[in-house]
Amino acid sequence: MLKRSWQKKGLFTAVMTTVVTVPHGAAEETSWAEALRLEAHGFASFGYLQTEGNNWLGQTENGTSEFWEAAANVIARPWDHVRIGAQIFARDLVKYDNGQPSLDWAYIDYRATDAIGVQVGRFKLPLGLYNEALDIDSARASIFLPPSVYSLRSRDLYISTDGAKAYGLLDIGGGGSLEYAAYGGKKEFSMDAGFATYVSELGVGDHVDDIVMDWQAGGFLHWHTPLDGLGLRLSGTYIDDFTADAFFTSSGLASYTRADYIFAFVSAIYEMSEVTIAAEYLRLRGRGETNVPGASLVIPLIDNYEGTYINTTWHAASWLDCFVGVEGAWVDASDRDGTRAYTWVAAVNLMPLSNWSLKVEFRDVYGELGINKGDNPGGIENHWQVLALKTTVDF
Amino acid sequence: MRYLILLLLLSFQMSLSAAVVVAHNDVPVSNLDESKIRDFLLGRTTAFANGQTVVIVLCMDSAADDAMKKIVDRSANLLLRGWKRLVFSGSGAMPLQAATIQDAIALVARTPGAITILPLVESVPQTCRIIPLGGAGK
Repeated sequence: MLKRSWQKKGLFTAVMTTVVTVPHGAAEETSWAEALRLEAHGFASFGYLQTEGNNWLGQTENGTSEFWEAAANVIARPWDHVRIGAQIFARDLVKYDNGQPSLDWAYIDYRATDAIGVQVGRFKLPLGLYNEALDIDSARASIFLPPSVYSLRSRDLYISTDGAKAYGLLDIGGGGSLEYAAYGGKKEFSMDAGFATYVSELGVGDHVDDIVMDWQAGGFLHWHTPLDGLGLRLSGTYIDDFTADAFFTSSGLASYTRADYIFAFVSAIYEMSEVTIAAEYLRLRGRGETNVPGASLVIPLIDNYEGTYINTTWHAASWLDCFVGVEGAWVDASDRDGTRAYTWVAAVNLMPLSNWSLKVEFRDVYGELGINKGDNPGGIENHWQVLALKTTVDF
Repeated sequence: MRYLILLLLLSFQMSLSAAVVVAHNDVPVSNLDESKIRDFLLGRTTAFANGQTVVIVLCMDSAADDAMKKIVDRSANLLLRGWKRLVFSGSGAMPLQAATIQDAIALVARTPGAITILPLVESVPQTCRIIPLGGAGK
């Protein structure tokens, strides 16, 4: 899997070679970087997590600093209408990912008109309001996007795909405007990434050999309403033939899991000069089976996850945001009394400089959803808390 | 006398709007409505009608902030946060930034395709001009 992962980095090399060698019709005295309108950006976030009641995402009850992200990108605009870019990303989320770098996105983008553009390569999936900005701490007031809608441990599943996307903005006159995207692609998963760790925790086997999907497709439609600042969005993705092959080290039994998945989001956002209110609902539907041929076992896979949240950010000053929110999540939408979690959240974001933030977030959770039994051998508390601190610098 | 009255009326209207677009001379538009400016500042559109790339210059001065809020109902810092979301998610390129109004004007003056939102300014260099705001607003 590592070999396949590194082969994908050839895509990054190809993109950068195109950027460096294709000339732009610029005057002699203009440097090549200026001719390409080359720019580089990056960010680094460092955090601390401590939980009370349960270990979350790993060993957190005693506190951990295994909580950071970093990214670096290069973007060029060699011609009008064209943008080329690539970004490397790494994160450590307690026991997930552990700093494994990956090619986050790498694309060639051609925007013919406002109404239509095309992006080819690896790109972030436009799911919900914030999936594309999942890892961008500087883009929000809170530390965590609501895990009820944006799962932390299965990030790899829906963060990006390799394929093509069409997108654009359509002016509908007095009715506002419509923003849209439609895409198709497929993705390979690294066995060193956090998602493989998470899949093994789901009970398919303690060693995961391979995770693949056949293809995926999806899109979004966002209505910028005539009421300035109010936006409504529908988005979703379909994953065909998601498979995970694993085995149990104790017995040597192999398991083969196959499923098709649909993710559907309904979102609303109201952005005013001093307050932003966002609300989203996610419904996930997975159907398939896990086959353990050595034990003549076929276990149906029925996934009916449901999650929602509403939150408010008060942009109190240019250097201060205050954030509050409530979240709800249910492992089975048809059984709201089953495994679930209700959370209220409060956070403060200090921005001493425009490129430096300091955040603190408190989460008070009622419910066991999201807690791994393996991390809590002494039992799972139904009421638990999270304190998170984070600082981010970007350029 | 007629021209003086016209100049006074124009000054009156501009002071009423309290926000102007300063653009490099090669920007291929003679006026811009607020909805179009909003689309540029929020990164929803990235080019003028003739396909020329728009270069946004964000002025981080507090006086420019008031002008920005009149157009997009967001401060420059909040806009910058939105642009970071676009840049780090692979959906855009970062606008240029200027600390002061004078820096913003100088940056626009030397950057083809550049536009910026400022409070009413008295004069601009020869390589840029003030574009009136008009048409459909908020």
